[in-house]
Amino acid sequence: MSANRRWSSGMLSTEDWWSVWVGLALYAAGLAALGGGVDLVGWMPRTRPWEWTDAVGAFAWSKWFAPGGATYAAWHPLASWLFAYAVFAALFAFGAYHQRLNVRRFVLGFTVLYALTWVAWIAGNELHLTIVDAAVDGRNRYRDGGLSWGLQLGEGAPYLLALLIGLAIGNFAKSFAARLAEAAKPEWFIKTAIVFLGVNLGAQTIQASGFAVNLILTGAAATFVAYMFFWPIVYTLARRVFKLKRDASAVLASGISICGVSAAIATGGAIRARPVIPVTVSMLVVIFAMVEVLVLPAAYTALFPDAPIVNGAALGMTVKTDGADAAAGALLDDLMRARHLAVEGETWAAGWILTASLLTKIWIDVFIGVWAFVLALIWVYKVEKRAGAVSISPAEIWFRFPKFVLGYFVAWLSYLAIAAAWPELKAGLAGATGVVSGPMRTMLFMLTFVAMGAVTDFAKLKGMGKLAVLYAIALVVVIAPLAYGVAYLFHRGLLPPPAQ
Amino acid sequence: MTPDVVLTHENGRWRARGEGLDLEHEDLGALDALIEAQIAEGETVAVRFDAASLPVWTRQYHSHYFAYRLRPAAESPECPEAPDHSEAASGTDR
Repeated sequence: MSANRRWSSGMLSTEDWWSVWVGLALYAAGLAALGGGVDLVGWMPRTRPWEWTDAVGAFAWSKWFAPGGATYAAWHPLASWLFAYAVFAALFAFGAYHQRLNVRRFVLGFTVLYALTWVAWIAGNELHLTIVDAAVDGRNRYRDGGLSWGLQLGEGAPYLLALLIGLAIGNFAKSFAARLAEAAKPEWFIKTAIVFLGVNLGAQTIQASGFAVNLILTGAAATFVAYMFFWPIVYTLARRVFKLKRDASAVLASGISICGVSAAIATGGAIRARPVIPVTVSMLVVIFAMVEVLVLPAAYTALFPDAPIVNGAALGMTVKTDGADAAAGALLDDLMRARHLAVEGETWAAGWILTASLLTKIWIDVFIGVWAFVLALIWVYKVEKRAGAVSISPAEIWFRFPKFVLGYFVAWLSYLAIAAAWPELKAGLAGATGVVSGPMRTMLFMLTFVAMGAVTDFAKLKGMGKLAVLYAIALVVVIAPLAYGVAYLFHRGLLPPPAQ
Repeated sequence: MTPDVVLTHENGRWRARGEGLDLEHEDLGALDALIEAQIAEGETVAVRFDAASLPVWTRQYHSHYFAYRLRPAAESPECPEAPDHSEAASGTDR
């Protein structure tokens, strides 16, 4: 342990870096199939839509899921499922070992989470939950299947089920949740999935480069505006109305208005606050983020059905923590596309709404190190007035930089570079990485939903007093409306391209 | 290489260990002054909070708390007076 940290410190000991290693390793394995190479990831099972009377009448595992790659088509579905478990359990356990987690408890917890994830994923693909009563490519599967009713939730149904299972554990089976805690790492799972999403962004950039660049730039601009407005307003509210101390106000303002737990901890560190302050705020953030995931995607879909990209970007600025934001973005993406299909009969390309949500959030994450550094200087020079004795190194910006973002950008830019450098491989690129950006990415999202629910205990709100009241007021009165206004300002009129 | 001191926060008090020091105080500014009093004038000490002492569940969100360098002033107080830090995190303003 040293204050003389090297830039490479933490590369093998933090989950942030391990999301990069796991994500890029599987992405690289996917690329091995390019140009007639070897399919190293096709064993990953891909779920299938199913209808319960059909499954009960003539059961077969292949009706639920099957290997994702053609090379592995002969594998029994259960073999691919077990192989996927072994690969992911081994990769994450290896990371857990280097993070000095209890590997035995991690593997046991991961095994339970993996099983629950698949139960939710399979159950959530039942047609009565997912299928929309509309024609896609000239075929109405709702009518063809003879369904008499359906919730028509689209691909969001498995996510909702996973979340409900996780929440049931976190709130009604707390001793069980405690046993899962070593492996319930929603941030690790979602950051790995976000690295995979870099592949999706690469494909999206090729598909509609202007739109992708527009999303990236407007996301950055919207983030800047959010920083400039949200933080001062919430800080002032905390100081003037709720009479909180400077350190609690600053940590709370960052937690509510920037990027949740990581911002609260970064700010707490920057101003050298007692750790109890960011930890308390972090507990609030986690609980409120869950409420946001449950409420905002459905609310935006109902209230603003014609503003998908605005909705996505607004989520990115409103929902705190990467896991909750990505979860909410994925839900919004699926709910809005299902609704658009049902009402307009048109299918929007998948992933664009999620990308809008995620890009905004990633920009917010990227600048937290700079923001914390500025706050640290303000505290040393203006608040504590100890500039002569205490000095803060700019290296702190790097130590607070979210490393998974590097994985996201490496995946995105390398995807584009391969397509540009070897045009003959461009056609096969989407296929080679399809398993990684498809079922692997979705499974990590599902794991995130279950884990996030399992670590959320609403009872922890008790005793939070005026911090919880301030959080609720700031969220409803300041952050959500302002975020929507800023998102509207920068993204109005943008729509996802039609599905190809 | 700058000498190192590692900070933790235990039972409401900051604790600094390393370079032969083991000091604690409820106020970090006052603890800084205690450290300054123990090191030679003109020397710099690298201080880093041990993020491993934060609750395990928070580490997946952010694994770094803070680090800074401490340079003793020419006239370090030998017995610093601690500011009143008895208020809770959600307490009222001073």
